Amino acid sequence: MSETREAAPATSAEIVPEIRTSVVALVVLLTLTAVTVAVAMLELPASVHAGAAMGIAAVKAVLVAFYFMHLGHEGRVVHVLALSGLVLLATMIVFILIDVFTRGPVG
Amino acid sequence: MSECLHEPFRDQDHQRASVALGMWAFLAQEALFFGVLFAFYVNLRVRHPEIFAQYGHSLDWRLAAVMTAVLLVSSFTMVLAVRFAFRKQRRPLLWTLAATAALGVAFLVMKAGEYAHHFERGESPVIDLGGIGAEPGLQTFFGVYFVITGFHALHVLAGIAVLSWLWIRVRSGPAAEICATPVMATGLYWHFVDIVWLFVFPALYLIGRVA
Repeated sequence: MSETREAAPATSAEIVPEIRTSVVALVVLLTLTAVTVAVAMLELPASVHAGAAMGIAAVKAVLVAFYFMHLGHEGRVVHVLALSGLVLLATMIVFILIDVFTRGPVG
Repeated sequence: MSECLHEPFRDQDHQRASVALGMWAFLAQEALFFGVLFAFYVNLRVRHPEIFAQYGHSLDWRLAAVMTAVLLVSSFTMVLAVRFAFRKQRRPLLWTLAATAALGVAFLVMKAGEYAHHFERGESPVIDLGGIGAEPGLQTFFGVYFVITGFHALHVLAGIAVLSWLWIRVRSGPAAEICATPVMATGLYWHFVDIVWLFVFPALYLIGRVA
């Protein structure tokens, strides 16, 4: 589970998580789902709602990637790939947001 | 053991790492595929918040919350399957693969029920050609809903097909011949499809609560 690993790819023994770790991850993920629902019921500005919902979803995604998809145990090339996918996705969404927010009235 | 190891790889770990790399490359482009659908959603959400306010609450968030839990539990059983595959524990592997597929089927059954409910109420994405050029409305909202959840459901269906194939393969051979790498690769895909749903759930189902 140490984060400071060398870049060598993990062996199959290393990527197999402890059952207890997986159970804790599952419980945290289910709890965060309940939190998302609870937050959605609150009277808050729409932007706070959007931020909270996507923020919690992002935290859940990171938990799945690291605890279920053993991303932390993979080699450096896998990290670069996963990160590049994320950067490209973020670039696309951010530029689309810039576009739609700076347009005039719909016409 | 040797049955599982293919030509260019020197050993199981080398093969496993290469398959993981390939899967992550595939998943990175899958993220972009769903990203395009999400961009479609973001654009509408920003420019036409009124259609989300108007139709958002016709989606059943309670059912969707149950579906989220079902997918999360299926990801957990998938993690167990990968563990049993690497340890060549045939019987627990068969059970966890079956449980993961069954939870996937349960998800799709709920999805189908949801679709039937919406079609019954005339909430379909089918465009009325006479209405082209009009302001976005019901069809636009359900267009986003059906396209995003539809592509996600197709991914779940594909996952179930692969899980079934793995189950048959494990079932027809002895424990010593279990190949863990395909199980791990399927697991990575299954978890990714789970992640997509983690974003779809609040984006579509909980938005109606705000309005």
